[in-house]
Amino acid sequence: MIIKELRICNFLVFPGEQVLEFPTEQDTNLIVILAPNNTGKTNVIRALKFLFYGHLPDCSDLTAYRLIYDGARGATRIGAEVSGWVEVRLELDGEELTLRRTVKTRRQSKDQFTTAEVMFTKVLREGKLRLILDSDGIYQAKIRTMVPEQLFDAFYFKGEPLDGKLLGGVGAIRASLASFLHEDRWGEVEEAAEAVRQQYTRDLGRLNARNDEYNELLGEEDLVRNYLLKEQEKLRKAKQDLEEATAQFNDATSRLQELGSGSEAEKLVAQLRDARAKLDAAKRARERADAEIARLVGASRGIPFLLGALPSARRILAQLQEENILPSDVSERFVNRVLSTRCCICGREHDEQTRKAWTQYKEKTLSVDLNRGLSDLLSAVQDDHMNSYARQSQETAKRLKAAMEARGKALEYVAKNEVAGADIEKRLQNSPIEEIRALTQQVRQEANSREQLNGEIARLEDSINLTQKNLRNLKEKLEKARPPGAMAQKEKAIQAARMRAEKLRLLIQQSREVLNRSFHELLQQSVSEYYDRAAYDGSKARINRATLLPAIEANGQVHGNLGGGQSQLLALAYIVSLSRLRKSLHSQMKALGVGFGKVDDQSFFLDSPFNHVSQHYAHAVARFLEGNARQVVLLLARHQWNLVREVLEEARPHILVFEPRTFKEDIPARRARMPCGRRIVNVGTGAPDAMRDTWCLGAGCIRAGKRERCRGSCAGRIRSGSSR
Amino acid sequence: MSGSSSSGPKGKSRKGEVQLGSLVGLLEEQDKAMRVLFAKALNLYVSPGADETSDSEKLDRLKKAIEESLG
Repeated sequence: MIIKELRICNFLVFPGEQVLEFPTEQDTNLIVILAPNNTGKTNVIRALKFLFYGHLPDCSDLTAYRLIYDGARGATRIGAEVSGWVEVRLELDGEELTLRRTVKTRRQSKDQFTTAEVMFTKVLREGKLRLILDSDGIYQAKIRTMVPEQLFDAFYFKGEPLDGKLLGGVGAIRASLASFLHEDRWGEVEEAAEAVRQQYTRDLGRLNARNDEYNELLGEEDLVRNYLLKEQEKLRKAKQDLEEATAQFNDATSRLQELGSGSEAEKLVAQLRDARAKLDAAKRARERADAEIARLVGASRGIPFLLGALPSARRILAQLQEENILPSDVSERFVNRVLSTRCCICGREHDEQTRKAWTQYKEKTLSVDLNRGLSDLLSAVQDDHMNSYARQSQETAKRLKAAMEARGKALEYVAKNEVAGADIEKRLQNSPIEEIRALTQQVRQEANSREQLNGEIARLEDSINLTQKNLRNLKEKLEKARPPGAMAQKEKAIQAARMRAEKLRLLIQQSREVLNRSFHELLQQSVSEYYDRAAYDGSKARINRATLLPAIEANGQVHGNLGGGQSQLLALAYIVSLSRLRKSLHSQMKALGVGFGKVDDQSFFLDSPFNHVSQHYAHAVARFLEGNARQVVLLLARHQWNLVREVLEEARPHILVFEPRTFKEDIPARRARMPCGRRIVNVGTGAPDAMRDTWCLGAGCIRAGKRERCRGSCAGRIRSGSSR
Repeated sequence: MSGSSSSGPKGKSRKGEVQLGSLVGLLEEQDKAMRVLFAKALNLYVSPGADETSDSEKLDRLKKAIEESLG
């Protein structure tokens, strides 16, 4: 389905009738529509979605009238009808087809409108415009077959990164895939074959209504068969799980072999452990040295800083002693002096009593308690005293020096081990140890899982063999209980048809399994072909066997979503592969005489696909878009265009530029005025200020094989902003 | 999509058709009558316009196809 033209009239933000023509020449599949933000790019996609399915997610039946352009609704008089529509000219099933979806309402009051009527019509323009209602839903079915609604956001995604849409709702996507690949319909055929078989069983029952034995055996046979089918289903599931576990086991094992034993990495881990232990020890040593320095400084009471004052202090103290100003009368030496003289301090001669009193005073008081502080001070200021301040300071300085040296060494060790640790960590980051650990664990788990599944399969096979034997016995008994004569012929014919229905059911079932398996393998192969080659980080695409959904495997871990652009690339690779697969399925089934309908080439509309994407992946996505779909329409703002311009220009895309308020009737005149007129665009919204500057890309020059600035009067830049 | 073998832009070679060989192989193992029955059954349920036929009619047609396949 290729979109050739999109017309929008009074719908969403588009006033009046506007036309967006898409070049469909064969020389390039890429169309780039450039427009600043908030000028209607996303609304182009919304309009398409409404056209395809008749509703939008943020709009109910009651509010559908709001889809009509505000200005048109506002200008409608009360009681009058107003409508908006989206029309698309398609190439579908090899034919050109124009379809239109109209939303119509009537204004009831200033603010009220009737519930909108939505119509889907085929458009014929044979001189006069004719709208033919799609009353039997043929065209709606065609659209839904081509693009199942749940997959619309994958083919025509807007705004948000595609990954969020595609890799999000697993259930809905799986259901869409079933529909996209007709898997659900194959299921219907299988059920129908079973239903026919049951009809034949009932026919047999009726034919042998009077034959109790036959009917009893028939009922028993059905029960046993149903049990057998359930056991077979379990066996299939177990085998599928085993296959999955084996594939995972093999993948993990071969990856482990690629990575080696990891002994080198183990050595690095040991070295890192050692470096970290040394670093911790050095840090502890530094902390101890810091504590010692603090303790020494505190204990010194600042004496080392006061040593310069000691000579003066000594002099003052000596003078004070000499002059007895200091309370030297309470010192031992003073008492000794008093005792050594003839007279007491009062001037009278000593007698026995005074001497005794002084001696007693000296021995009992002075020598023990009194004036110890002064005595200590006098001692401390004497350099030769063992407790002198000078000696204390020397000791403190010595210890401080040792502590400082210890601290310096510790700091050196810290720095050295930090560097060593960082170096080892860096080497370790580049080594696959974490992946090896994860893979080793996975291998162990898968091995256990395989063992359990093998046990389960053996049990189921035994059970199935036994049940099949029972079934054969019952069939033999049924044959013996068969009615005689003409009825026997009839019974035989019904039995043959019943067996044929069963055979058909089995064939459909096997075909579905084969298809499912093929889809998985082919999808994996196709997605890997696209994704793995472009993933510069070595990540790989993985398709889940059961859900057929894609994921990214990086460093032994499977991620549903990765930022930076991998997910966008994966999603595109996935959806392109799916489309390719469906097309192949259709053509090959056709060769087998099965008509699934024609599948056309698919178109992709991608709105801002390079948001939050690294340059590498933006380029990878851009390269991927070229040549992997027949029509790719990119809606980009300038910054995104700049990100991929280098790549896309090589693909020589058609480049369209949004112009604001460019109405259908103005297009020829505007094109004529534009230096690169054939590429200038045709649709825009009423946001002239936002659109004041658009830009000319000189794509005509690129087409001519030379990249150079536009030679027109725009000089590479177009002033726009005409308004109506 | 690029499932066709036609040349892409600038003559770039596109991806070839994906081969569903195993399904073809499975069907080739069947006798001709069974292959015809298989195609008829799928055409009844999968082909475009299948929804336009009622379920009971499709069952009747399938039954008839089964009987025809027996010769």
